[in-house]
Amino acid sequence: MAKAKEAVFLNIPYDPQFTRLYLAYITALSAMGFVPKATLGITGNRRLDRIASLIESCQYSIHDLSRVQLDSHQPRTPRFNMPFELGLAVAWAKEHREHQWFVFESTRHRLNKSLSDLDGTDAYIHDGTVRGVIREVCNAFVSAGNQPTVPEMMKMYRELRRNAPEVMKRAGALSMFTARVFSDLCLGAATLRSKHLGNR
Amino acid sequence: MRAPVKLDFKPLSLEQTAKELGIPRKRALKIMEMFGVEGASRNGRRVSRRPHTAKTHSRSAKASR
Repeated sequence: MAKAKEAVFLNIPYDPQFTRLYLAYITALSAMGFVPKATLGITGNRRLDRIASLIESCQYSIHDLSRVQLDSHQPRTPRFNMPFELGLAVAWAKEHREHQWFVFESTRHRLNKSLSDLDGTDAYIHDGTVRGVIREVCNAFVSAGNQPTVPEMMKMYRELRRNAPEVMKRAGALSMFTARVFSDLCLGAATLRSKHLGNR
Repeated sequence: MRAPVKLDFKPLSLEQTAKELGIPRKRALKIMEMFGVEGASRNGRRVSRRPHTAKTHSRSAKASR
């Protein structure tokens, strides 16, 4: 699979409680000119191969490890998908130096406890807020043109959030965490970038 | 904290973004219109967001009615 410079693998929990931050990541990455990619819609017995291919097709990957608590459904379990996919990305980056991975967390120093193998890695701490996610994406990347500002991205975020129910309705989806809604939201965010930031 | 990574690419056009996301053209145009880019015109070429005031007889002005 060809590697696209503008492709970023977004590794986040698919969880209604994470909806605001999900929209914040889509907004911030799109404002930077990225095309986000996620494992939404990847099912079946070759899922792992396809996830690995997706990571390999992206020059960058963002791994949000803020959801470390047990989920609410029985049997209550922590989520291992995000750290597992981070492991895939780290292994890939070991062999392919052009791949760069970033760890995001909501709570400072928690990563040292939850995943001490990453000691020495600076996580981007977003405090569990929309503004925090946008701020930390700006700390991780500088765009080729003029850097969009946090207030500009907040404006884009609010507009994306306002339109999200209509995107879901048109997709006939009950959740924002479906492949179609994800891709439509990404295109919506890119449209907002074009509208608010132009070609800069 | 490491220095921010300087990105060395320009954002894709909206049409290219839709293609990269695997969104069919017709659906992509509807999404673009929903988010306020009226230039998602029928021939697939995005026109300026600025309202056409001087030449109201232009093709794009007619198309937007």
